[in-house]
Amino acid sequence: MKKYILVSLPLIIIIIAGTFIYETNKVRSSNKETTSREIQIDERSSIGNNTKLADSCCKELTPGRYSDASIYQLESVWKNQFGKKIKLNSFLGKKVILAMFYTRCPTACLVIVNELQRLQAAIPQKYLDNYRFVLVSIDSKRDTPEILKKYADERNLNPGIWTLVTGSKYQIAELAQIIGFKYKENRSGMFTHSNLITFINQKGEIQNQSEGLNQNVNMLSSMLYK
Amino acid sequence: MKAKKINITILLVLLIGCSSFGKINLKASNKMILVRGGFYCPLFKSDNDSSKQFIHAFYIDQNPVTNEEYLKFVKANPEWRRSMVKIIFADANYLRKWKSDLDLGNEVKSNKPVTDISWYAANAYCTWVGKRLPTVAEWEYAAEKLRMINNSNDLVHFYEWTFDFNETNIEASSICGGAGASATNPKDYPAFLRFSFRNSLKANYSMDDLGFRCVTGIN
Repeated sequence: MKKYILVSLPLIIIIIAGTFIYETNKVRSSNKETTSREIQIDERSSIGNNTKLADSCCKELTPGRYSDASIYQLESVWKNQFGKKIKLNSFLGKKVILAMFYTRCPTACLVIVNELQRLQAAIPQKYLDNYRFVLVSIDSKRDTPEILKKYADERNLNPGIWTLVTGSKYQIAELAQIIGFKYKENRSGMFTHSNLITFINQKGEIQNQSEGLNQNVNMLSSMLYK
Repeated sequence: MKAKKINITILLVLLIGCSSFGKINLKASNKMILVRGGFYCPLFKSDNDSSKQFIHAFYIDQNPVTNEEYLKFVKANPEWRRSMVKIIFADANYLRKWKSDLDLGNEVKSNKPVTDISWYAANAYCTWVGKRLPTVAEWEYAAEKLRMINNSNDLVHFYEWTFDFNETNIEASSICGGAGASATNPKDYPAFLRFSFRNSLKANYSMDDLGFRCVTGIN
């Protein structure tokens, strides 16, 4: 009899544990990760109200400096070529020239980067700090911060002016949708994609876009000063 | 004899234990259907791709997300309420048939699929419930396997968001292995309609007859 109790006790414990897991699962599926979600909601609603946002990764924002149509409404957190977390709104106040690319891209992206470099050269030195060049990788699997850093170094992209970022598949898709950049990965791991340069004003609104390769630098720089 | 009895009891208890664990799994994939892995023949494909594409098994919501379910989401996520949502994430038609932010009103049925929601909103909902939007390939594959469309008159003119709804550089593929009994068959007119409809969309569009459902992978 004693033996019977000894055997059945652990089994009862297992059943109780099983029911407990079952119940917590039920709560999760109905109430969905309340705690972690609440934290996120708090963070988001504070942004929604344009109150001051003190984030571990990003500098503080002055209230009301960007509109509902600003790409700085995106809250996704990216990693730059130094592995540092940044939000896009860390470029608030600068004119941003943004392109989406990937480092293994054989031709088109190089052309785009070259164009941006020529564009940078066309900006008088004393105004250069008003601008930021941002390259967003669409290859979240392979383009790590280290690889981005190497890419930037090889092309002498001044880290004060150039930021290369990588992020999750979802946040890349989200940004691509916003700026109208289309891309598709094929099975060999290469991408077909738009060739698009996006000019973003100090408030994060899309001001102008240039589509296609080998654009005239004069034309591009005319976009800069609009 | 006693030992045998104990053995049987252990077996029984274990069986009950296992079955209750089985239930847990079912509960976690709430109202979801398993779509077994297999080959899908895309209606369109890019130049470099071979015609057949392998789709890994996944779970898909049995039905599109309903107004009632979506209401829970906007209650918990104020930034997705009609009056709060940013124009960059959803156009002016967002949830336009609802009476107010948190009131469906009399005309919108709680158990009907939610419509007038943008791609960003659909993504945010799926993330919130721990799932994601299906890719076009997954959606079309599931549609083919489960006959989840065309079986109800309500859904004839109903479209659903997919994660990669407007991927670029697609060209019509002519042949897709086998006997062509797949979506590549030109007689699959609804599939062509869906593709052209998807390509006309922008991510912040919110429209009648455009809802969504979520999927999860299998771990």
